[in-house]
Amino acid sequence: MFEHFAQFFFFLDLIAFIAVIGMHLVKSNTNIIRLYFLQSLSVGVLLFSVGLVEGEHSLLWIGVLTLVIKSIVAPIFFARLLRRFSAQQSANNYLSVPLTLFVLLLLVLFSYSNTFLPLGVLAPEALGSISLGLASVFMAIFLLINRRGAFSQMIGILALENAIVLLASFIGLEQPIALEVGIIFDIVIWIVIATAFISMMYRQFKSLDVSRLTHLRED
Amino acid sequence: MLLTYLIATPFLAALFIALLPASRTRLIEKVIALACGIELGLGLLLIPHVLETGKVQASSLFAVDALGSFLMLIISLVGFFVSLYSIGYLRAEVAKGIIGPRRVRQYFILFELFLFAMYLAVGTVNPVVMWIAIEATTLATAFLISFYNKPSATEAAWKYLLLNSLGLLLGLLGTLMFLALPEEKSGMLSWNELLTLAPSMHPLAVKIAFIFVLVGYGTKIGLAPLHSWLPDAHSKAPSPISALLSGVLLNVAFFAVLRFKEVADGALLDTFTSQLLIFFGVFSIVVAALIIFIQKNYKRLLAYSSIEHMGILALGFGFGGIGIFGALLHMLYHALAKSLLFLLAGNIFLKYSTTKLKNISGVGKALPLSGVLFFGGFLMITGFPPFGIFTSKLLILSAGTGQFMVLVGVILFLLALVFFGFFTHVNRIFFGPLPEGMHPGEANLFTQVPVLLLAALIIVLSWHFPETLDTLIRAAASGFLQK
Repeated sequence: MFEHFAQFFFFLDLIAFIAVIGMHLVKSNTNIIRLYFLQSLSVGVLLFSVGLVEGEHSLLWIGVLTLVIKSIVAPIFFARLLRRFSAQQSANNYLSVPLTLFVLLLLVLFSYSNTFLPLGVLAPEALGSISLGLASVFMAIFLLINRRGAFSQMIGILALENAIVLLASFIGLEQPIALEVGIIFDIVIWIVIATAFISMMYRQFKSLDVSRLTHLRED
Repeated sequence: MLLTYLIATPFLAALFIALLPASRTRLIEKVIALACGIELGLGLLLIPHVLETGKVQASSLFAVDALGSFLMLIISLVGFFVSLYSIGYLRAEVAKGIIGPRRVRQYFILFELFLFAMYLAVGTVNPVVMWIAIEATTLATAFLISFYNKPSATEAAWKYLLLNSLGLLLGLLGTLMFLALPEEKSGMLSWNELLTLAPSMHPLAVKIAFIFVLVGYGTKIGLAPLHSWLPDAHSKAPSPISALLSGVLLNVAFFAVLRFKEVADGALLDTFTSQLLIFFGVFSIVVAALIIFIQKNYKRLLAYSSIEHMGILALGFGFGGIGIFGALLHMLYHALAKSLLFLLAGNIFLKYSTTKLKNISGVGKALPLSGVLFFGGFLMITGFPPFGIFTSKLLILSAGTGQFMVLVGVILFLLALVFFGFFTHVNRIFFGPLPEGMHPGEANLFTQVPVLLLAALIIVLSWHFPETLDTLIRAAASGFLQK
């Protein structure tokens, strides 16, 4: 049954992958939120679809929960935060766009390299999706490193979490709903705490640019 | 039921304090002292049960074996002393007008939630629940690190939140890979089930999964080069929290790596995980040894010392054999000695209102008790005989002498460097003139009694090691040796 929908699932994986690439290229924080919405949407739809295909009620609920929290509540929450601080345009990369693209290319090649071939045993039928998921993981980590904005870094963590959820669903790991809810609960609390810190940083530094965080250097 | 009570107590205490009005500071303090006292009692009571049956099971998700019980003891022991000290420390800060009653209540709620998350991480048999709990420790402590609301504290907390979350997400990826490796993939697999299924796992995939786990949880442990958050967070957090972070949290994260090491060793039947631990261990000791010399801040000095000791732990588990027993012993001694030093650093901060080494002198005269204990703590932590850390280091290094003779020589040289670097700083702040206008004296009774008791405990444990504790550590070590 799963095999019949393999192309659809791969398509969703591809959307999530493209969303992470987009996060590196867009200039405004508003567009990063849109791309995070897109990535979360593909994750939520994937979980929901797998739940439907496999008749797993728990996955259906997790899909719905993911859609509600990550695709609706979190983006609205973030958009309000940006409006409050008028920080819609503050995202910048350390590397130039061509260099960023070059690093992304290297990361994708690394994900498809023989190094990770042994992971094929996790789900031989979905090796392509696993490689694509790994590429999303590495690119999300690079987003954290390459962005100057605290807001983009926060989205980087959330994009990484989305990429890991996608990867887990492709390796066929089914978890009881209690554990999934536990992970989502952790992420929700993380979002609340991270936004509280972003507010504190804005109050104290008058900016969300992390390159201005230099107080620790005095020590 | 003991285990259930132990995990539930800090959560209930946090809930109860949250319901109390902030103005009832004295009642909050009593609740904290009582809760941590109960936790210590339960932690101690758990040991004979574990030794008798090998494992105490609370439910299908929660159980502890010898290693878990040992970690629970460390958490409850350090938690007890730190909670008592926190009462005195916060009283002094309130008296200085630095914080108000609301912040005191907030501190103790987060303090208990932090303990709860650590008990949960150690008390569960499920790797995903453990991940959730360790992530929860990050969330509970982020606001404790930024407790003073200063820009530098916010910066340190942001760095802590970001790097630890990144590390833990990689840890989650590794965890999920481990859970997906057996034929019957399930998120509900326990450590024991994973161990049983380990021989059927694909070796190369296990290696990749273990690397993700080690890099992920290694960030939380503070193993170099993943350590950059640690000195910042430890230096900016209130001193009692630094004591808990260094003395306990790093060990809890290490516990996670050890659990996966057991599974990976069962699958690989070679020295892959040990070699990785030795590599990270040596790297951590090198980084710490070099940076300790040029430190300008005494709390950062202690933080780099923690990185060094995590490196020593990694070496012990990497060398194997008697090194594992030594590493577990080291875990206990380091937890106690480092907590003591951070609590004493708190007393120094209360007196001098600075963490900069160049602004401090005459600690021995200004703080008659804390000064002497700080000097003693330095001797304990650097492994000066006859203190316990000397014994544990000796055991760890002797485990490596057969196979890694040259490496052991290098490590000995680095440990000597650490000693001299540490001594240079401690010597300068301990002796030297008393600053003008400063009157000798400690802040209050609660900042003295816990550190005195803790120092006494370390000395007693250095000379006389209780048989029950010895049996517990041997039982925990044998779990690794059987693999």
